[in-house]
Amino acid sequence: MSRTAPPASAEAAAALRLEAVSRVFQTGSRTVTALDSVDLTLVRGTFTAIMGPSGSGKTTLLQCASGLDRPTSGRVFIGGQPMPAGSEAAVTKFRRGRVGFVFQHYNLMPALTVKQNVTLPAKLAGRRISADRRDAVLAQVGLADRGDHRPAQLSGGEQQRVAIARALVTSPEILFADEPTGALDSRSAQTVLRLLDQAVRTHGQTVVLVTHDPVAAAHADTVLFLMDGRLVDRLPGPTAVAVADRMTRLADEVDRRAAEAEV
Amino acid sequence: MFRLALSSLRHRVGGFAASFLNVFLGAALLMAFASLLDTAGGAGVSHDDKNSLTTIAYVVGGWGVVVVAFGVAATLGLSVRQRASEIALLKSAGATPKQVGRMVVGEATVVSGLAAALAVVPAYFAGRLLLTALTHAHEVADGITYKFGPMALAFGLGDAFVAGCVAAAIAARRAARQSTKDALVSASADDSRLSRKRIVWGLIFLVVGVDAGVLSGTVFKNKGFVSMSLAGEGIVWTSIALAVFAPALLRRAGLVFGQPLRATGGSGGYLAYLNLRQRSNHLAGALMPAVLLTGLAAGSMYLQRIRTLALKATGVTQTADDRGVNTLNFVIVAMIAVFAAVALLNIAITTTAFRRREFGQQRLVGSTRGQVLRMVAMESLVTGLTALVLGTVAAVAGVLPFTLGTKGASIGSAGPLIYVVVAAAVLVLTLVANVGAAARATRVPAAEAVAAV
Ligand SMILES: Nc1ncnc2c1ncn2[C@@H]1O[C@H](COP(=O)(O)OP(=O)(O)OP(=O)(O)O)[C@@H](O)[C@H]1O
Ligand SMILES: [Mg+2]
Repeated sequence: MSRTAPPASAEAAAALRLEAVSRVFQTGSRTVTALDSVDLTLVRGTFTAIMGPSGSGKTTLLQCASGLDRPTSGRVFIGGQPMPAGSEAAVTKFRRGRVGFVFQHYNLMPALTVKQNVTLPAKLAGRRISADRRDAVLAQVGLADRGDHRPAQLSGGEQQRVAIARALVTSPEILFADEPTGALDSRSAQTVLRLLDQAVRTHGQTVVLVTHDPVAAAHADTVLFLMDGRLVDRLPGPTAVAVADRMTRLADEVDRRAAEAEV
Repeated sequence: MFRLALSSLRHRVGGFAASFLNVFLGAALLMAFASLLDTAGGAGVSHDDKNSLTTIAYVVGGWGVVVVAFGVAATLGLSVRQRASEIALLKSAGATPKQVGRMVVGEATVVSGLAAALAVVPAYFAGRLLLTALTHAHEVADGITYKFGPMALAFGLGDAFVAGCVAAAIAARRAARQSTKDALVSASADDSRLSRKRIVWGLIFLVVGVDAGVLSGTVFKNKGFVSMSLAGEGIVWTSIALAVFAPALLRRAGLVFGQPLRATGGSGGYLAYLNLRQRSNHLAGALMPAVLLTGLAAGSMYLQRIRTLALKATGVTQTADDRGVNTLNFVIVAMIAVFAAVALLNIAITTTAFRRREFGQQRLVGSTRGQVLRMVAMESLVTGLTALVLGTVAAVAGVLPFTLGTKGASIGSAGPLIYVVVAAAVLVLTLVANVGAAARATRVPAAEAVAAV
């Protein structure tokens, strides 16, 4: 890596920092600014929820922050280290080990057993995960006895728990979850949220959660609201009612703007 | 449903291109040889010439029909199996299995029909060239008029076209019966165990193959062209029999190569090993054309070489006609080998391109593109080596009895060069097709590859 200035002490504690991150999509003649110069700093060991109307840029934000997508402009720092601007391989090598990601649709490898899925990221990074560590994390998500099953033999909720174990096992700097409960029934969703909560409270894990559910968002320390690619509001110490209230106001705002645009 | 089939065709032109190409080449190949039958039926063809023409047409047709039928069936069957999720979706939207079947077969009919019809043009010219070659080799008299007629069409349509449609119908029936959940489970679980039906068919093909081989060295020994082509049939059927057992054999190969793969291959080797063990059924698709290619190319060239050497050893001098026959033989083998090579490329490329999503998922959890490509390279190395071993067994099944039955012949005299060239070609083809397709499939960002269903 070229010049990496030693980060200031306050920033060293930042698990994630975005500096003027923009992402512009160009499809044909249409230009969509999915992220519009977003600045964001998340302190280690915090649980942050991101909410916003559909199409507001939540997924884009997570993907740019995690190295799955590249910002059109701006810079991303994970644990004070800048995301490399080089080849895809360089970004991949940077993010594995530093970033865990939980997807709405699990994305487990179908041919691999639960155990093999959990240790795959470390294998790819050329590191060894001890069997004890693997089994401990599987026990943490309540799947100690399902290690030799394959994804297709598990329920959606169980698959998502495997995905969480896979994201946690390398103790990443930060864990992103994009609507992890979006495809689950409410009971399984509860379990998944409890697991994320536990990771933050008992293991000091930093977690960023995108969700449409105010009850889910209420698990977080802070809720950030995104609209048209901009962070427009933040709510510390959220309750489900307060979150729902903000979301309603945001939706009204969207409707009002749409009406204005028509005039 | 037929209209649905047409619109679905228009939307997935790329996916059908592989099937189209295989039917096209196969039909052209068969029609070219079958046109010799039309020619033989022409007025003013002497009795001897008629005999020569029909013998050559049937002999080549014997292998050709089988190779083309299986090649086409493999490609079309694969294209249907790869649409399991689309078919499940149609069913959940209310389509009955029968409607699904009609749609899939409708597509296959259009694709194969079009391909077979267009193949008439190259077949006409290839058939003419064949006749010229035969005339030059003095297999037939000068001045025979070339004819392209009902026999050619019957073979072209009767084999390539029908094989395509039947394979699509069988695959569609299976796909339509399966629920989405089952489709997912069978895609991930250990699915390399062979069904009883499969084992029975494999054994039947094996008996036919060994039988043809043995006949070439016993009852029909020392009959020149006839013994050689019987030995050739032996190779073809043995190849197909072994290809029928391929998923189970590939799984074993995964076990055999597992240790070195995991020891030296890093994460790529580790994943290749797991895939070979768990998904040998998916990876085995390209084995049939690869085994056929190895068996046929190596086998028939050795047959020819051994016969030539045997003639020399027994003091018979080769005439210009003999050399002409040799050239002709070489051309025939080359044509069938090209067909098998295209089928191999087709199936390898289609199979690997289909793994786009899987590659995407792997990259999402931290695999670099290079690691994906190394994994695919190692898988195809094992697949290619397995094909080589099976193809060699098939070749031996034809060459050995033929050699034993031919006076003055020995396998050792023919030297290793032919084998080395064929083996290298098969390995390179397999590797290039798979790794190339994987490189293409990983060009888009991982998140996009996973999102696009
Ligand atoms: N690959 C892409 N090409 C073009 N436009 C895109 C692409 N990905 C996202 N967009 C656009 O960027 C905007 C933000 O999309 P994004 O997926 O981040 O929204 P989101 O907040 O996650 O929405 P949802 O809640 O529906 O998941 C949308 O207008 C979307 O159409
Ligand atoms: Mg989204």
